[in-house]
Amino acid sequence: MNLSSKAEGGALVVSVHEARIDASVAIQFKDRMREETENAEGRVVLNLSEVDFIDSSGLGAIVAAMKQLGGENPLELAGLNENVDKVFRLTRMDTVFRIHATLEEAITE
Amino acid sequence: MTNSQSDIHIELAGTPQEVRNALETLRQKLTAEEFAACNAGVLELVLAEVLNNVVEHALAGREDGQIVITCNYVEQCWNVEVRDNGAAMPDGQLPAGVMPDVDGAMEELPEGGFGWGLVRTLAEDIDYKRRASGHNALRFRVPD
Repeated sequence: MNLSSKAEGGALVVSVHEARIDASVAIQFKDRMREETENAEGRVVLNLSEVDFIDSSGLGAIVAAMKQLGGENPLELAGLNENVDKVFRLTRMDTVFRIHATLEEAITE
Repeated sequence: MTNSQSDIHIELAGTPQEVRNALETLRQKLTAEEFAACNAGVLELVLAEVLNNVVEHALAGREDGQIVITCNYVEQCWNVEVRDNGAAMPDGQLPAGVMPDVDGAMEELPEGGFGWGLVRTLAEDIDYKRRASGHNALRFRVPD
């Protein structure tokens, strides 16, 4: 599971360099998120612009990552494509996460 | 209907990695020119949820799990059948597919249970039969 992170504009940006977050990698995703965000201070932006598909297991893993981070480090999302956005909307998880249209928008506030 | 007449026919073993491979195969077939305009993203999502459910529940703990998917595109609609050799649905009934509540406190948020809610939201005419041969046969339609 290829994830990278760097501090940008007062947030920690975690980018997912994978086309899919699905049931076969959900546990790895949670583990990698924990590693990448260990020293997070403030908000964390998950950059999904390279992700082309998530299923409900992938969604669950993103929710788990948000819960791991807790209230001190709110997890926000950026760069959702149409398929990914649909999963958040249909499950109403779009009401739970702050979702930015682009990474630029997420880091320039 | 024989297999050779199906627009898409994919066979897989019952593991999460096989599900991923099957959906990538599906994606390649869907980007072929004749299906380029069809509702590929929704079909892929519904099949992902159905297949994950089969692997996690019907075929749980088995090493001889086999799944067969057929998809036919007829009149702006995907007609899909998924067969597997796993355990029957509990009470022979499909899951209700009620979306979990996401309005509670963060620590209470659900991390699962969305699969059949998504299937019921996106698919139509869902029909489940337990065959005498010991197979599950699930049919549904995904409109374009």
